[in-house]
Order: sequence, then C-alpha cells, then structure tokens
Amino acid sequence: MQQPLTASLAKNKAALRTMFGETIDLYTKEIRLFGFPCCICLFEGLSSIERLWIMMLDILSRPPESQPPASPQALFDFVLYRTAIPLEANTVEDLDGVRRQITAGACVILVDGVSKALVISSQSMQFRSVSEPSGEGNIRGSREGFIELLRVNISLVRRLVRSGNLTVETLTVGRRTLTEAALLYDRERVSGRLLDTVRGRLQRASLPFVFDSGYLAGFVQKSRFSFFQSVGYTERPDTAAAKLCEGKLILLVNGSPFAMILPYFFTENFQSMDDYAEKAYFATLIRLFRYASFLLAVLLPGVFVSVANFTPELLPPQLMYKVASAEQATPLPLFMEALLVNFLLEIIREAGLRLPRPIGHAVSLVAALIIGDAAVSAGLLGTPLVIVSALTALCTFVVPNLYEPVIVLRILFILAGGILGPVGVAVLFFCMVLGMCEMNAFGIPYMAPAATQAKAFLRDGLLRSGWQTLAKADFTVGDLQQKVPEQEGNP
Amino acid sequence: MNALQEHFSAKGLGRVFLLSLLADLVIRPFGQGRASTAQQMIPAALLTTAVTLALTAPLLSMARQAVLNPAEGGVPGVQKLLRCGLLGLLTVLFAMGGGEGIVRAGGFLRYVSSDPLADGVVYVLLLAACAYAMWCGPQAQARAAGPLLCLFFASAALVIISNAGAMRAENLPAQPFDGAAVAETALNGFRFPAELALFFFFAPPAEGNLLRHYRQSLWGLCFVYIALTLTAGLVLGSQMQAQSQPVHTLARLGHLSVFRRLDALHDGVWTLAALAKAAAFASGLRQAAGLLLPQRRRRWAGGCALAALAAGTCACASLPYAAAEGILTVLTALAMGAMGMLGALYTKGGAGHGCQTA
Repeated sequence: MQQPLTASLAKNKAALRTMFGETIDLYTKEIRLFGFPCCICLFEGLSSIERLWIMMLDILSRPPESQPPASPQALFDFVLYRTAIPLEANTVEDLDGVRRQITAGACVILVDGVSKALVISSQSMQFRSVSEPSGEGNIRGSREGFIELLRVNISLVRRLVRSGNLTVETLTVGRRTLTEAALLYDRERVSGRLLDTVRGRLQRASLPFVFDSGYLAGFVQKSRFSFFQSVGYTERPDTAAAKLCEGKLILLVNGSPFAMILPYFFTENFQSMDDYAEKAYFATLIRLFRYASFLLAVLLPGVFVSVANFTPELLPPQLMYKVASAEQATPLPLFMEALLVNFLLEIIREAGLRLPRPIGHAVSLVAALIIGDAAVSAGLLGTPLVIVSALTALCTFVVPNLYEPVIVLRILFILAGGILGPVGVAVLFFCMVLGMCEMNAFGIPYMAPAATQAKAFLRDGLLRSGWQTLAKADFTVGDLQQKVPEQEGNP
Repeated sequence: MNALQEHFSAKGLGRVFLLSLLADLVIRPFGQGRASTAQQMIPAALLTTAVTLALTAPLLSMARQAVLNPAEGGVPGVQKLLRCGLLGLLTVLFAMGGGEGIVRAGGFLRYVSSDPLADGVVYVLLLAACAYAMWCGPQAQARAAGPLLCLFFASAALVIISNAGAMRAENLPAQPFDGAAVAETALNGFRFPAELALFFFFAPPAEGNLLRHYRQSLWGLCFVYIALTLTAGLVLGSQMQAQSQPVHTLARLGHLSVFRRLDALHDGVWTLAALAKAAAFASGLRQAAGLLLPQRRRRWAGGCALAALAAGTCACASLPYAAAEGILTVLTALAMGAMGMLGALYTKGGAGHGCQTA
C-alpha cells in the first residue's frame, strides 16, 4: 500500500530519508515561501538548482501583487493556480509519487501543513545527443536515431507522426529498477485485439530489472522456442513512425535507444528505408539480393560440405578437382574445417566488438594473418572453404537483424551436411521452414504475408511496387490477422 | 477451437494435397512396370483425372458433415459405431500412407546416392521430421507448402529446360489414337491415393471454394504429369518404358552450361516434397488418433500417432511396393465410402441429432 504524504514537513522529510537512505545525491533544502516552511527535494545530477531558481524561486522571492497567502493550503493553491510558474498539472500525494518524480529529474516541493507536494520539471541531466544510429545505415533519409531518454524518443516520433491518433501509454517495468516504458500506437489503425494482447503480456511480465527493450521480448512473444523472433528493433524514429502507420505497436524503454516493433515479420528483415527512396526496380533488385544473401548465409557452408562429400558430381568438373585436391591436402574432415573456420570468424567478430577502439585494428590484422594466410599456407585449412566462409560472413552482414538465427542455423546445417549429407540438409531445411511457418505471435503468422500468399508479399515483401501502387493500398497488419483468434498455449 | 480439430484453410489444403501427389509423381514406386508410350499416357492421364474427379467430388460436400464433429447425445448408435470405425480405418490408412511415403523416399534416396545412409538412419530422420511437423500442426504445414511448391515447380521447370537440348521430335512420332490402349493404360494406372482421404479428412467445414481448390490440385497434378511425360518421351523415346524412375533419369541427363549433372539438386527438392507428404499424413494420424482416444488420454495423441507411423513404416518396409500400394488403394476406397455414407447419414439426420461443426 502506498504511503501517503502527511501534513508534517518533518515527517515527510524523514520518510524520504528512510526511503533513500543516506544517499549523498539526494538534495533537500528547507526554504520559506511567504513565511511558510517548505522543502525542495531533488537529485543532484538529474535536476538543476539554477533552473529551479529561474523558473520558480526568483518569481516567488518578489512580493505578490495581491494579498499574500494566509495559510499553507492557501500558499499551495496560490503557487499552483495563481502564478505563472510552469508546475506540473498533477500534484503528488504519496511517497511513491515523490520517488517517481524526483528520480525522473523533477523537483518536488513539500509545504509544511499540506499533505500534497508540488512538482516542477527542472530536469537537467546529461544524456547523449540525437545522432546517427550505429546500425541501420542509409544512403538517403533521416540521420536521427533514438537515444536513452524516453521522453526525447517519444518526441522524435511525435515530430514525424503529427496526426492526433498517435497515442502514448506509459507503464513501469522491472520490480527493482521501476523503469519507465512507453507503448506507442495509432489508435485508428491498430487492431484492438493486438493491442489487448500486447498490453496483457506486458502487464504479466515480471522482471527484477529492465535496462533494454530486449528484456521484454521473451514476455511479449509466445513462450515456445524458436530461432527467430516475432519482435523487431529499430534505432530510427522514421522506421518506428512507418511501423506505426501500418498499425503496429512500438515499445520504448527508458535507458534503451532500441525501440521494439510488435509484431515483426520475416519479410521485414529484408526491408530498409532506402527502398522507398529509390526507384522501385532497383529497390526490388536489392531486396532479392538480401533474400539471396540470407539463404547463402544459412545454407552455403552446409550445402558445400554436403556436396563436396556426398554429391561432388553437382560441381563443375574444374571446381570439383580443386575442391577435391584442397580437401586431400588438409588434415581435418571438411565439415570440421567448416566448423573451425566459422568458430574463428565468430571469435574475431566478438573480439572486435569488445576490444577497446585504440587496439581494435589489431584484431583484423591478426585475423587476416592467421586465417587468411598462415593457416591456408600451412595446409591446415583449404582455400575453397575459407572463400566459402568469407562469402558467408559477408552475406550475414547484409541482414544484421537475423544474425543470431543465421549463425546457429549455419552450424546446424554444417553438421547435418557433413554427417548426414543431402538427406540431413533437406530434413533440416524442411524443419526450418516449418518452424518459421509455425510461428504465430499476436495472432499473425510470422511468415505473413509470404506464406499466407497475401498480395502485400508481392507489393512490398519480396518485391517493391512503385509508389502509385503502394499509396493506393491502405495496408495494416490487421489485414493479416487470422480469423480464428489465437489461443494462449495452443499448439 | 479444439486443437485436435485444427484444419487447413482450403487454399492451404489444396497446396499440401498437390505437393503430396507431386511427390508420388517424381518418386515412383520401384518395380512398377510401364508398358505404355507417352502418346498413350498423356490422354490416359486426362481420362484418369476426369474419372477421379467425377467419382470423388460429389463426396466432398457430404464428407464435410462427418466424423470430426463429436456428436453428443441423441446420436443413433449406428452412426457412433460408424464414426469409431471410420476413425480407426483412417488411423490405419494414414499410418500406412505415411509409412509408405517414408519407405518410398528411403528407397529413392538409396537408389540415387552413391554412398547412401543406412535405411534405419533415413527412416529415423524422416520420422523425426514428421514428429516435428505434428508438433507444428497443420496450419504451419499449409503455410510451408507454398514455398515448397514453388521450389518443386522450379525444379520441374529446370528438368525440362536442362533437357531441352536433348529433345528430339522423332522420339515421339505421331500415332493414330488407340482408344482401347489409352483406356487400358488409364485402368492400369488408376488408383485411389491415400492423399484423397487426407484431403477429405482435413476439409474445412465452412469454406465454399473447397471444390475449386480440389479440382485445381488434381488438374495441376495432371498438367505437371503431362509436361514431364512429354519431356521424357521427347528425350528418351522408347527407352522411357524401361525406366523405373523416368523423371530422375531426366534429371540425371539434364545439364546447364558447366553444370553437367543437376540430379542432386532435384533429389533434394523432391525429398522436401516427400517429407511434406509424410508430414501431412502424420498430422492426419495425430488428429484421427486423438479423436479415437478418450478425452483424458488425448494428450498422448502425438506419441500414439508417432508410434503408429513408425509401425506403418515397418509394415510397409516389409511388404513389396505393389502390395503396399494395393492395400492403400483398398483402404482409401473404404475410407472414402465410409465418409460418404456417414456424411449422408448426418445430412439425413440433420442438426437435431446434436452434430456440431468444428
């Protein structure tokens, strides 16, 4: 039960000190406004005394034009309703509300004799400026990216979607961190069923702490295991705005620059904002390249190993001789070589990611020397396999959203192809396709609109139609929703 | 909706049905003789398709009323008995159908591989895939059927294109139309594939365009059969009659540019089609077995279905291909007849007997 504020300033201050302990960044200062004792409460580093002075104290230090307040409640009402001080419209009446406001950077003013508190937005915290996102690079289009501050992120989206239908709901997640999150949607375009489903799952999510939107992914999706995710992420406000216009939901979490997109379909991994700024034929071509890259990234090493070991006749004769001679010269079986090279590539990638920037270039040097030159020259690894693995790695980077499933599936295909041959590859491919088609979060198949053969697949999935066609189609994800409602836990 | 009553959509069911039949087209049973020429087989295929449609299409609307709906209270005893009998028959049919598909695929893979895996390993792999397909459910299979069909058609087109250079018009000379030979070919090749019973079993009860998809699937199969038979006739000529796997022979012969042999590519795609077929039977088996089991035991439906499928695989592995096909044809005919009869009884009885649609 929330502890209400009392009329006693001393008791309220003591309660705050009990709540926050002896933390040194909690700033409390007793002041007198028109002769009545008051107390300013804020966190240093989140709120600014200078701003507070400019916004409020300077005004209140001058004598009032009319009769000064005669009681604490009169003072409270005077400051709240009869001055031009930019206070928050809602006052706080309990300790939890005080906690919420001052940890958000606001300043709370307690008045002795009043069991409510005034809130003034005097935030002055340090945060990263809006800059180009680290991933999702584009040739054309916006260069803005989300930052860690929730309110700024909401404003970035609001600037792009200026219709009155954009709705923002806030919620608190994480039992210990009490992180603020926001659910954004267009209330005219969003499906009511989808909204209720997502809301319900978020409310049931129980986490001790939340530092990124990705923590909530496991709670908003169905609980069945899958390599792929039914939610997506973006750092770009324009992408988030585009998804809102399709009737999707955007989940922003304070402290995370990654907005979660709900729901997210397989075909969206191959779309980018550049597609819509370029000519349709070129955008279509690039999309087809992306699909091909994904298939190559997943299948190429496994198929290569399978073909080289079990069905070498599939290769052109010249290539077959080169592969055979390379395989003869190396000590390990081909599939173990493939696993080793992929393992090394992953180590190099991880090292490059975690290493401090000043010595980061050493990783590429070591990788090039050891793998690219010494291992091949020494006969430990075959050149065709290194080329295949390098091509596969490049293809993986074309579709970075699918990096995790691609890596794991690739390893499985190498094992299947190397041990079981074409049968293993075919069975695994069948299971992979089936698994992707089985995914059905939020009542909409993950493979929609592809596997459901909706017109949207050809219009803006596999291909990209011209804007004249796209503009006529008023597409929302509700169009893809299944007629039979999804049942929780239903296989 | 009860998970055990989960249906395909009409479009999805049509695709799964077509893919299963196409798998049978490219992976022929071994030991099946062919005494006919392409000039006889093509009109025979048209005739067979028309006859199959004429015989089975009228049953479709009646089968919708049938056995999936657990009629409660007020149901005459004979209908309940028929229902249980039909479910039992369908369980056996789907187990045998799935098993036959697995055994045929295993035999085909052994035939085409220079270094084949042991039969047991192949069967275990295919059964594992079927188990996963059962877990995913019919709707996932219906969605997966679309991309797999696209792959299959691409494979079929590649077979034809890669053999274009070897086609000779003199291999397929014009012959006077011999009605008797065509009829004999049609009769010899006529059978009731178990996929028919699968289609009827999964027919969604409230979809009006089911018959259209059914017809499209059968005529689509006929079209692909004619295209491949024509290609085989033009390339192989009289040698076509001696081939046990004529489509594979075409795949083996076809080449494009520096790629002298493409059959491994086609084998992979056809294996996918065979898997889709076995998986469809597995799903049907799971539903039929689930409906047979008492309510409190229904969570064992998947395990029982997998065991039945494994048993069907062992049974078909021990039987000659012709015998297995014969058994399947008889079982399918019985099942179709029983579904029609039960459906007619329901239609006659009407809603007053408490029949519920899914």
